[in-house]
Amino acid sequence: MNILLVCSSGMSTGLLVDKMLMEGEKRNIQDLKIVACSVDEIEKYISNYDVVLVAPQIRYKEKYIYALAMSKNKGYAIIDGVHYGLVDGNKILDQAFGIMRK
Amino acid sequence: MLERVIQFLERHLLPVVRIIAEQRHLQALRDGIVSTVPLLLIGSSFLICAFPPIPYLARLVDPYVIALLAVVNATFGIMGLVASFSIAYALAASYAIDALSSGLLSVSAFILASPFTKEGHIDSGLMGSKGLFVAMIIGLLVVEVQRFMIKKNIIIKMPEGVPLSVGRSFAVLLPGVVILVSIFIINILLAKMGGGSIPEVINRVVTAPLLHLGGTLPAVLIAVFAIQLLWCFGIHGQALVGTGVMAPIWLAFTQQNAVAKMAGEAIPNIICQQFIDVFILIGGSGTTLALAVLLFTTVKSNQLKALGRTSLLPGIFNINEPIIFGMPIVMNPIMIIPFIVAPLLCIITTFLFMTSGFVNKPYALAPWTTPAFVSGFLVTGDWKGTALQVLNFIISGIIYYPFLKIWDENKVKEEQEQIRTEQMNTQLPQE
Repeated sequence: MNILLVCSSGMSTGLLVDKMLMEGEKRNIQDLKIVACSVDEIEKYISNYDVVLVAPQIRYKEKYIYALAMSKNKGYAIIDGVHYGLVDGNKILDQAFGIMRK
Repeated sequence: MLERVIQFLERHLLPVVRIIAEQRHLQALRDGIVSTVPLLLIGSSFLICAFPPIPYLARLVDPYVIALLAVVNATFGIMGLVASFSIAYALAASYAIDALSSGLLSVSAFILASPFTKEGHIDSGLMGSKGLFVAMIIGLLVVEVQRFMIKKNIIIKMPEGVPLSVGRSFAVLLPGVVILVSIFIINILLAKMGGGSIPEVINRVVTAPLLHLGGTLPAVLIAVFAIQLLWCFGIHGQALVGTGVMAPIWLAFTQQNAVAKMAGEAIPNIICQQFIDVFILIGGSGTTLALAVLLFTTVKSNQLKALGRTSLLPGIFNINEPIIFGMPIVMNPIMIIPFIVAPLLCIITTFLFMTSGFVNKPYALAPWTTPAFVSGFLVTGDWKGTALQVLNFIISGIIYYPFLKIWDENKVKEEQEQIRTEQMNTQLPQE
């Protein structure tokens, strides 16, 4: 599964990437690809991913990202604030699997 | 009471925020101007090399100063010119108009609007921050004219079979002629009326009042208050207000400071991009580095202890989303108070120390991720810049400490309750 994390500059979601990959390894998930990008670059990346997770601090751009994700038939969710703050790779990975579209 | 205020603000503030964030022209201005920042960072490193703060090194680089400053000229010196391209490029891309030709057209229009020197050369003085607002206005207008003409179908259309790129380059011809001829006519009219040039008019009507307002202490206090308030709702205030609205003004001041340093003149502006990045956002929005250290060393609750471990390292690089969402500060009536008060106090101390001349005003730009205590020295070339960061760090720590204690006690109680209910549940007979 390919997961795209989106925040303002790709920095704070970058913290999350490693945690989620570590969690994926623990669960023995094959082919897990996770990348963090800035909201300005999302159009460049989105096609190659199955799921888009949005950092809570840019939820003011929700309308735009939501429309984009729907038009490309991608799973979409805003990351829960507390999970995000505690960089909880476990819970956020669960969230990603929850919104995966078949 | 406080909860009702929060609810009220969320209902009425968020829609406004959305509109600002998604407004196309504001977004193009932001994207266009932000794309000049890498050049400014490179220029800054050469500026620091040209004027090293240690006398011995200064003597050493003395023969190379002119060569070093050439790089500063090629970066800070053409900030306006570069922006005239990147702003038009960004706006055109958002309309799905051929962005490259819009950018090029805008550069041409920008140069045509900026009068040449008596010797017939491009006036380098108009290519930097003096040209920034000119570039903003021209960049947006160029694309709007283009879009209007495309919409009304006033373009040269190539027959089918002509390669797309050829067709596109023809499509830009008519709008290009209209734009350049209009500027040509305005130039002549302005000269006839004795009104000077387009940059002069824009500077008088737009730039001067904006910079005058934006450079005052109240303006910065209001801007940072807005940034903090947005973060309290979990919204990236710095991206919206800092980069989104204030960046052209703050970066124009940054450029003026760099130019003054190059010319060996006194540095004019206290308020500039570095003022915010380096002295106020120590550890991220809310001056939270001290809070991260306190979390790492003093708290008792398990959640906050865990938070201390995850937030200290990012905090050193001025990234603090873990604190903002993990504590959380968002919608937290206790922590919101120091989160707003600490940066505002730091603005006042920084302003006072710089107006009194005790600490040098910043002239170089550093990436916003540069760790505190290093960045203060880098941007001012003055060890007292670091001392001022330490002072702000301590002030913010003192402000956060009592509120953190209250929140920590709350959390400890919460965790104890949770353990108790869990114990009760395990004592209940299983179904």
